[in-house]
Amino acid sequence: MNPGVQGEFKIVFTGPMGAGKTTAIAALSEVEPVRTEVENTDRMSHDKEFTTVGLDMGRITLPGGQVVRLYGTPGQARFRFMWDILGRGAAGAIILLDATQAGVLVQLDLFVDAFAAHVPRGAIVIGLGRTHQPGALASDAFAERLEARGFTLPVLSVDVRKRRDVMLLVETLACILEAQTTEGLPS
Amino acid sequence: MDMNDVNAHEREAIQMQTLGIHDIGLPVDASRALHSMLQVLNGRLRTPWQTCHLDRADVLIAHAASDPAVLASWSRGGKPLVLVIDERAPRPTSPFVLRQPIRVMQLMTMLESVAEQLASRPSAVQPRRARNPDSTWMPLESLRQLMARHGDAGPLVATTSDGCGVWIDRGTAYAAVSTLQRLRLGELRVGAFATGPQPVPASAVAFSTFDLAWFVALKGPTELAPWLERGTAYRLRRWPDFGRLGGTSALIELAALASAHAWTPARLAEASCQPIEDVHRFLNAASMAGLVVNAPVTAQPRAAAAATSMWSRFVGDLRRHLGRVA
Repeated sequence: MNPGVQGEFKIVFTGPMGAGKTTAIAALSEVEPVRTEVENTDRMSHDKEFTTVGLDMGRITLPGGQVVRLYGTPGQARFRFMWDILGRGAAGAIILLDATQAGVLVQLDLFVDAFAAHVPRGAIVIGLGRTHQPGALASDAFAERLEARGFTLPVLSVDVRKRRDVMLLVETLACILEAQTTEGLPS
Repeated sequence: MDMNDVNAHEREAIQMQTLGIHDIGLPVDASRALHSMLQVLNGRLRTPWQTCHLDRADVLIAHAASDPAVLASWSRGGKPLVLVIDERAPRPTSPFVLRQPIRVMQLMTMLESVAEQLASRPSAVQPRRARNPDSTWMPLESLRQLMARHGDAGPLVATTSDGCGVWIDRGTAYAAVSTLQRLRLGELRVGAFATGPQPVPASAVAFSTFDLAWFVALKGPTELAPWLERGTAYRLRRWPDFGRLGGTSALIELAALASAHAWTPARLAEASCQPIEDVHRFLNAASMAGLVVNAPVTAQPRAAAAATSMWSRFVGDLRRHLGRVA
């Protein structure tokens, strides 16, 4: 599906296990999201009871009749083939990260690299959770990491349990898409 | 030829000079890597660089844990200092920071920014726009000077428009929780910083000086800051963290445009359909927070297409759905 084809847009929520993808989609979707959660057998990576192994799917119908489909990917790298399937044709991606997790900067690189290949001209927003908890890495470190790799992507401190914060992520993504269509920009 | 043209020519001439760089306090591997990168990058940068003795250097690259006396002495000379910090260290107030391990792209962007700052320093021949020391720029100027002192200043205090205090002590800002919330909402102005009798209250919360700079500039004068130029194009090197700073739809739109392309202030106002005064405040704030870089003025994107694009309709409909209509 190409972005905008037949009045449908796809936005992918991705990131490691426990970052809040399922929660974020549930905060926005007008319908009960489709979930493919099973018991988490990888308690070493994240201590939560259930985890997504297939996809999450939600939907927003806009006043103009356009439909925004919200897809959540599995977080574990062993399901990476799903990232490519879900990323294909996406208008943009929202990467959710947990600022307290060890190796979170490596996760940033991993997910940016995986989805930069799919979304047009870097339409990616980073949502950073748990920034107020002890040991959390500041959002500046993520922005500087991206800058050092030649990316200028927004890194926003959010709490995806708050609908307002998820809306901020989606609106930022929409503004990036809008800015990229400004005539004269390199494609 | 107006002042902007003169400044542009002057800047171009300075950019052609070879600039000297000296490093102190770096681990041996990092220092060697830095020198190798400089060799690789020379010829790819707008300004040539070479390593030299400290006395002749235009720029000092120093590990944040270097001898404070050397850093303070360098800072007094007014030349740029690039601080090197460890990967997980909190960002210091210095406008130029490199995180270890240093990466080529990070160094390249940094050197271009430093060269730009050196080229835009006031010259004896061509005075820049006049600055009145008693002007409305005093709060921003005082904060800017503090930030250039790399965290050795404090404690200093400024008064907000509702009579509360905001403190800076060794590179960190402090305020009452309620004051910080009102700063975030753009409800308060902040006066100039000065030495005050009051110490930082124990109840005050710490926050980044860069965030304070953003808040102060966003509520500051509606003119373009004296250190920015109307004829220069600016782009964002990093986005503001609107999750932490608070962000209106208008600010997000400006940031999205400025991260996609370099704009002169006037063209950014045209492209975003926002008042030039708001664009000035956005650029002033982004500049104070160290988020913008100068870029050569090239063909400026035309804004007309944006208004009718598929994404514009999508964004408009999405905003209405989300209840975030600007």
